[in-house]
Amino acid sequence: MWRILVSEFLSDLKSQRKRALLTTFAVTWGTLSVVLLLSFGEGLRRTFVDGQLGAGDRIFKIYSGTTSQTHEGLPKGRRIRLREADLELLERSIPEIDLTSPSYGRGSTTLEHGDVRTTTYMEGVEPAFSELRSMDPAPGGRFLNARDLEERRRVLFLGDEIAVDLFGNSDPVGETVRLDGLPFTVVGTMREKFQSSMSNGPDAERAIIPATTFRAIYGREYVSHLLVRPRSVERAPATKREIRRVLGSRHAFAADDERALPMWDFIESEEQISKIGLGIQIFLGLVGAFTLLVAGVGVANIMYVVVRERTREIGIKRAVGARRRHVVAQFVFEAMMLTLIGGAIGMALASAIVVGVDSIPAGNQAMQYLMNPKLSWPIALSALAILTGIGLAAGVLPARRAARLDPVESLRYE
Amino acid sequence: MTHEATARHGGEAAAGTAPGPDGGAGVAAAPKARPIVTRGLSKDYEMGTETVHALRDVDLVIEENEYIAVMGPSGSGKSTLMNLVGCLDTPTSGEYELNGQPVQDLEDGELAEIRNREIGFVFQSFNLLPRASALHNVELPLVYAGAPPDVRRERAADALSAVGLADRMDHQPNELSGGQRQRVAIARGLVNEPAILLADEPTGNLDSETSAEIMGLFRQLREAGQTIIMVTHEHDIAAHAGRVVALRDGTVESRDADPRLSADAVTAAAGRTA
Repeated sequence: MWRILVSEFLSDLKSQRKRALLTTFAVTWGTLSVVLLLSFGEGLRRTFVDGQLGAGDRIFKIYSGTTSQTHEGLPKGRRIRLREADLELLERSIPEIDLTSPSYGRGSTTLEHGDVRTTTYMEGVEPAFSELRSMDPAPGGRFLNARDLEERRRVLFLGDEIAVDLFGNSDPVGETVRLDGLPFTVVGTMREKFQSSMSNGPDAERAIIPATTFRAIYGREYVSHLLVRPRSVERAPATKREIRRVLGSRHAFAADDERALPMWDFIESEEQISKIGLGIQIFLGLVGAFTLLVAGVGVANIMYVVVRERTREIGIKRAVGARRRHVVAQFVFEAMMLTLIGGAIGMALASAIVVGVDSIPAGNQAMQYLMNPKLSWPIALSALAILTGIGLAAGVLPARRAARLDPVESLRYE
Repeated sequence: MTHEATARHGGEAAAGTAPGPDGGAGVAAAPKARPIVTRGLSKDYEMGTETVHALRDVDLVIEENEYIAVMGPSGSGKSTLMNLVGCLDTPTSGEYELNGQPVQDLEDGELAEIRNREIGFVFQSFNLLPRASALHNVELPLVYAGAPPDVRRERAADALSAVGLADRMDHQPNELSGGQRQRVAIARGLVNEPAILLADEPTGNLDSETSAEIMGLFRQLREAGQTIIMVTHEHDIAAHAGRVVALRDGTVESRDADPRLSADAVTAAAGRTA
């Protein structure tokens, strides 16, 4: 059976080179479109998620707020301001909390090195900040550690861009920077990262010092915000409610008063961004699938015409002993082969383009979204599934028509 | 030549009725000597609300190595008979035994196998695959018989050599003359060593010289033991056959051993219609 199919397919291919070529091209084009669209969509989705992760990974950013409800006889509109003691309370009362860090912020902080002078947003934080905010040290340096905090050391961690602003291409680690006039030693710089979500400028432009040092110099009582990471993503909403309850009873505001304690939920944001990415992905996938469908309709159309053209041939074959299933199999096999060959070529071309584009370094952040196409197994497999489905559909309908032909009628067909 | 054919036919008929060479197994040998037996074979077609009786109660016995011409005006049912005998179509009623096997109730797949094994077709318009070589065309029945490629090649090449086309195997039909094309078709019809060679107006598209060539080939085949049924409307072509079955309005009008006589009958019948 297979031998018959293959030998017939090959002789058909030889005898109808142009038709086979055009059909294959249509499928190649369709596959190329669907795989490229899906790959660029996947790249876009990943860039979205990475950008969000660049600002913080599975964290809550807790801000000071203003009450919007009266509570236990207290008026609304009261300012709720957070201290480090609140963070300690949360750590003590909620076991679900994993990592924490306070953040004291100060805009327009002056940084000087030699003749270079710049201003930026500066933060006083604890060691966990590095992990919470995806600020990893570049090789050769380190982030702040517990002893820096204990001893209120004047040490400084710099964003990668501000490090270049101050030091050019020379290594800043171990060098001294004057921060608001006070000498600080640079212990590390941030490894370059992609960040799409930010407040007070990108992390690449940030200066980081120990929270204890910050308080000692600037005498701040209140934090700018608290960073908290729950242990489990699934229980995150419950943890969030728990945080409002614990701090609500301390500061006397209602547990459901969201404006008393504004929180930026990175887990939720990431989920939403993932959903948006998935939406884009589905949209692009549909566009691609329709393109592929058009190619499939083309194949079906050609196969239909072929059945018509070959009515006589079918009659001849039936007369010399071809069974109905031989005829059906011949057309289905031919459609499948054309589809799969076209699909394979399209897939190979698409992979080459994806790998090629991905290897071009993205010039700026906008290009980062476009230039990161990713070809994944799910994409390749779904494209293959669509192709096989279309190939079958395109082959089966004409083949059934061919098999229904009466051999007597077919032989008489001119 | 006609007399010779008739004589040969007579001899064969006698052999057919005699006990087979294996003596005691005469019962088993007897059906083999009568490759085609039909009883009350009928075919109706529904044309809108009307029923057309294309063939009515045809009883036909064809013995081994007979050379039969089926004649009749258009609409007489000869194509229908040809299609039924060739297992391309199934009868509305009646029985048909091919090589002793009842085939009237077989389904499509089994009929395809019978066509493949027992019947070699030769058509008026040759019906070769246009873009395939002569060799591939002849190989085709063997492909569906499931023969391995080397066997296919060898047998197809032998069949082509037998019809005198050993040097044309790689030619496509459009590179061959009409006579050569019909020879390819005959080689294809014979390659599976069928019980019957069924020829539908085999000379209809050929000039008289080429027709004579093909008739010569048919005579050789018959001499080699092949049973041949030929549908034709030309008397001089029918004259090559050993026996003529004349059809009219779906029934057998005459079954005569002398083709000239039946040819006259057909002419008379045609005259009456006109």
